[in-house]
Amino acid sequence: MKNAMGLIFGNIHEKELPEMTAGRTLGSLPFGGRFRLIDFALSNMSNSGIEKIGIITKSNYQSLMRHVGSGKSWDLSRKNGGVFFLPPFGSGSGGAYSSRFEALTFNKDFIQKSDEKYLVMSDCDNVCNIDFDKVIKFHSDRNADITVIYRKKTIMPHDVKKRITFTLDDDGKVIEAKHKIMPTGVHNIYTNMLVVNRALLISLLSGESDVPITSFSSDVIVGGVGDYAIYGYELEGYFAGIDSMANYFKHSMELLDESNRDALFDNNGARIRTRVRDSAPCKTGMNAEISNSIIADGCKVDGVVENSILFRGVEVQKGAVVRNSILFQHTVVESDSRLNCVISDKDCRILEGRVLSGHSTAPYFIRKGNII
Amino acid sequence: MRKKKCIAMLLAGGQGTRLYALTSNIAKPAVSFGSKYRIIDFTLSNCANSDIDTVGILTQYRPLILNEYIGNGEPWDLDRTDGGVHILSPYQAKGENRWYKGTADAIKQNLEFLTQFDSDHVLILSGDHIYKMDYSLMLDAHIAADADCTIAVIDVEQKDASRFGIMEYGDDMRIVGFEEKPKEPKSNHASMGVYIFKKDALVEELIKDSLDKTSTNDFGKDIIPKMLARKKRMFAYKFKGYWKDVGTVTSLWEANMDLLGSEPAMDLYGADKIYSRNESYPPLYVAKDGSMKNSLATAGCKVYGRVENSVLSEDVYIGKGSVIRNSVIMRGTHIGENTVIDYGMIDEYAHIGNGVKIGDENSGKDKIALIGRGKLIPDNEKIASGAIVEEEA
Repeated sequence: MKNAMGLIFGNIHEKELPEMTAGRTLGSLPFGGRFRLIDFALSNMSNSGIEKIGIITKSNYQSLMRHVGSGKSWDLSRKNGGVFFLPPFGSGSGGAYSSRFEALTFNKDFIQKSDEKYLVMSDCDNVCNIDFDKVIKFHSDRNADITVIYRKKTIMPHDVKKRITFTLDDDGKVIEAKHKIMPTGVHNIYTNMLVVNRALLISLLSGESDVPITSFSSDVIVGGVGDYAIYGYELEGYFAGIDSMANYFKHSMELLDESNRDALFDNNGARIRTRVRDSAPCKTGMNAEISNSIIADGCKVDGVVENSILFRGVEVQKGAVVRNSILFQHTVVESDSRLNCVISDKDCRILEGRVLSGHSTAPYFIRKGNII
Repeated sequence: MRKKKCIAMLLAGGQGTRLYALTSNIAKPAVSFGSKYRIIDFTLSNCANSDIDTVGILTQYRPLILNEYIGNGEPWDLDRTDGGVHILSPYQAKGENRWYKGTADAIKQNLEFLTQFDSDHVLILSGDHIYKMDYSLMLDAHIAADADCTIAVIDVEQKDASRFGIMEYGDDMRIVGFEEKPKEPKSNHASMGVYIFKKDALVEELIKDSLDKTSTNDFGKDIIPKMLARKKRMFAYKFKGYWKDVGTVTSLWEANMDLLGSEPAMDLYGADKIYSRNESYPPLYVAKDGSMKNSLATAGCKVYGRVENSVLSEDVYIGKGSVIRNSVIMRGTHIGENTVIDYGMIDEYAHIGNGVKIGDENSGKDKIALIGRGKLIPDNEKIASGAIVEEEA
C-alpha cells in the first residue's frame, strides 16, 4: 500500500492573473518554454512515489484536462490510483466552491474512499522541485497531524503583503502561526503545500471540529496551532509562486540562469515532466542571433532573440528583434518588428514593422489569437 | 479479430557496417538522426500516417537499444489492442537454431505472425531510409492493378544507379526487368526496398524460396527475380519526393544537412509529422555568448559556443568558446570549451574535452571525422578529418 495520496488545487490565484487565465486554469498556464504550471506539482508527487492524485478544478478546466490526459506523461496512468479530475459536483446546493475548505468538503468522498495514511496538498502554481517523501518521513517521525512546508524569504519593502508565516521550535514544531501583513525582514513563509493525516482531514471535513471551519488556512492551520500537532518543513532550493503577471515575468526570466534551471528541472535525477508533443526540432536561419534565451521545439528563428523565452512553434522572422519577452505557442513575429518586455499569449501575430514595449514590472500583454 | 487490409513487416536487423563506429553497439535503424529522431522514426511515422496499425519489426543485430526505444509503440500511435507493434527477434525452434539469413528468410521465419492477422496485403519495409511517404496511396495502386507485388521506385541519378536494384517497366507500370545492383544499369528507376505483396502470393513465394538450397533468401536477389521469371503480376509505383538511403557515413551526414536551410530538401515542419520518443528536458538554451546559425537543436541542449550549419540532438552541451561547423552531434554528448569541430559526426554520450580539434574546415562530406558512442576525447587532442575513433572491440 502506498502511504500517501495527493491533491492539487487547479484554480488557485486566478483572480490575480485575470488576463492570462481568461481561457485556462492557472495550472495550465505555460511556463519555461514547454511546461505548464501543474507539471511541477504532478512531477513532484509522481517523483515522490505518490500514485493517486486528485486535481480539484472548478472552471475553465478544458485545457488542463487536455494537458493532463490520462496522466501517462507523469507515469500516473495506473490501474490502482492515477489521476482523478474533481470538477464541481452538483449536490443541490449548486455553484462552484469559493474556498479551499469548501472544495475539500465537496470532495470528501474521494478522500474517504482512499486508504493512504497521508495526504499531500499542493497548489498548482508552486514552481519548485521537492521530494515529498522526505516531508512525509519528517511528518511521521514526529507523529505530526499536519506538516506545513515553508521557506525562508527576505521580504523587501515593495513586497509587503498579507502572508501566512510560522514561528518554530528547535524540533520544527509550529508554536505560532500568523496570517497578516508582515514587515520587511526574513520570515518563514507558507508555500501552500502540506502533509496531513487523512483521518484528521476526514474528521475536519465531517464537521467534527469544536469550532466551525470556513477557511482551511485560517481556521485549521493558523487557528489550529494549539489544537493539532503542526510541524514545519523547510523547503530549500528554488521556489516560485506565480501570483501576478509581474511575478510570472520575473520568475520566468529567472530560468535564464542555468543554476536555477538545473535546480528546478533536474534535482538529483528527479525530473519535471510534461506532456511531450511531436514538434520538429528548433530551427535557426543564417540571420539568427540568439543570446541568453530559451527556445522550444518547433520554433523557427531567423531574427534577433535576446533574454527571451519562446514556446513551441514560435516564428521570429528575419530582421525582427525580440528582447526580454515571453512568446507563447505559435506566436509569429514578422520581419522588422521590435518587441521588448512583451508577453504574447498563444497564436498571436505581430505584423511587419510593429514596435511594442512594456516594462519588466508591467509587461505588455497580448491576448490569445490577437493580431497586432 | 477485425479484418485488416494491410499489415507491415519492417526489416530492422541490419548491422549497417558502412556506418562503422556509429553501429558498433546499436542497430542502424536506432542511430540518432535529425536532432530529435532515430532513423526508424521515419518508417514508423509513415505507417502511422498511412493508417497502418500493425507492424512486425524484425530485429537481429544489437537489438537492445532499438527494442527499448520502440517499447509499446506509443509514440507512433502503435500501441493497439488489435495489432500494434511487435518485435520479432530470431528464436530457437525444435532442433534448429536459426538466425535470420536474408531479408526473405526473416519474414519466412515469422509466417506465424504474418498469418495470424487476417490481412489481404503485406507491406515490406526497411528501417534505414529517410523519407515521408503515404503507403496508403501505393496500396490503392496495388489493389487497382490487381498486382501480386508492387515495388516503390524512385528515379535516381544515372551515375548512382548501380548501387540500387534497378527496374524496367512500361507505360502501364508493369515491371518487365529487374537487376540487383547492375554494373550497367538499363534505367535509373531504383527500388526503394518498399514492397506490397498480396499476402497469399508472398506466403507461397517464401515457402518456395525456402526450399531452394541455392537461394540467399533475399527479396532483391531471389524473390523478386523469381517472381518476375514466372510472369507474376508485378508493378512499379513511382514515388516523387525526398528519399535517402543512410547506409554510409557520407549519406547520413548529407541527410542531416538536407534538413537545414530556408528551403530544405527534407521538410520536417510540413504535414505528416514525424513522431519520436522524447524526454521532457527543458527546451534549448542559447547563452549570452553562444550563437546558433542555420542549425537544428532540441530540448536539453545548452549552447555556450558557436554553432553553424549543424544538427544537435537532445541533451547536447556545447561549451564556451567552442565552434561547431558542418557537424552532427548526437544525443547526450558533452563538448568542452574552446574545442573546434568541422565536418564531424559525434555519436551519443561522447565526452569531448577542452581545446580539442576535430576535422578540418576545408574538409568535405567524404572526409567526415567520426567519434564513437560514449568515447572520451582528452583535452587538446587533435583528430584528423575522416578519422574514425571508437572503442576497441
